[in-house]
Amino acid sequence: MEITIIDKSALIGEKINFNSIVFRLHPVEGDDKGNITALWPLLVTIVRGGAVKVLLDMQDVDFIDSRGIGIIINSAKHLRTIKGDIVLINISEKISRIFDVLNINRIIKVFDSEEDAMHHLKFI
Amino acid sequence: MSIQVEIIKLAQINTDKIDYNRVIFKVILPHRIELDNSRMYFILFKTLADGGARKIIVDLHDLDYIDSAGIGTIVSAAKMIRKQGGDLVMSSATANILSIFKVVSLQDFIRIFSTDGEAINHFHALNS
Repeated sequence: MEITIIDKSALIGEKINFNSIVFRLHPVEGDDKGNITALWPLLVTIVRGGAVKVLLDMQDVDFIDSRGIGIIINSAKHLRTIKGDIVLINISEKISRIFDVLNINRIIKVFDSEEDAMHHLKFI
Repeated sequence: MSIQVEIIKLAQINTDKIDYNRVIFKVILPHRIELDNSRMYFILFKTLADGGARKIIVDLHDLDYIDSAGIGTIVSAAKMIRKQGGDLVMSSATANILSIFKVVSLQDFIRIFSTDGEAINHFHALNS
């Protein structure tokens, strides 16, 4: 898993302003061969640990099950109560079809470009 | 620049209620860790600790330069995780990095294993 922490606050030391941080999670090959089960404990822990804005790069993910979808939805629900969100980019056609069938797009924001996603997170 | 993180499960994980005694977060440090990039690692360690993580391995196999900010980040991460009743250990340090750690006696504060396998076994043994 590759995590990028984009912090636009000028804070130093031990203070953290999670409103000005995007956690960009990118499951990569090697994480269970494109299956993202390794992602879930990490995502759950980061959200529980205070993250407000999360961006999931699904570029190298070609499988998602109901538990995964459930975790994304639960994360989104929680993050929205603290004025944050979780958004997805670069989803494969296969996952896009699954999302269509389940009408996930009504609940979870999926963006074509990283710029749009960051904009939604009120980051640029 | 991104941080490489791996999840090592010591048992099947039920994501509804994660047993943090059975999940190891392995954070792989890059070639250099210094003032510029250490804050990103601090934020990650702090978020993981606050989120419930109890077992962290800091993998140093790629690391060939660390400054005081970098060492400070690892030390504060270890303190945060111990406050939660967990522990942070390091693995796979090169001879060069080990000699830097020796100067500040870091090995007396944080356990250093020669391979990540030994670090995993250490955590595994704590459970049984």
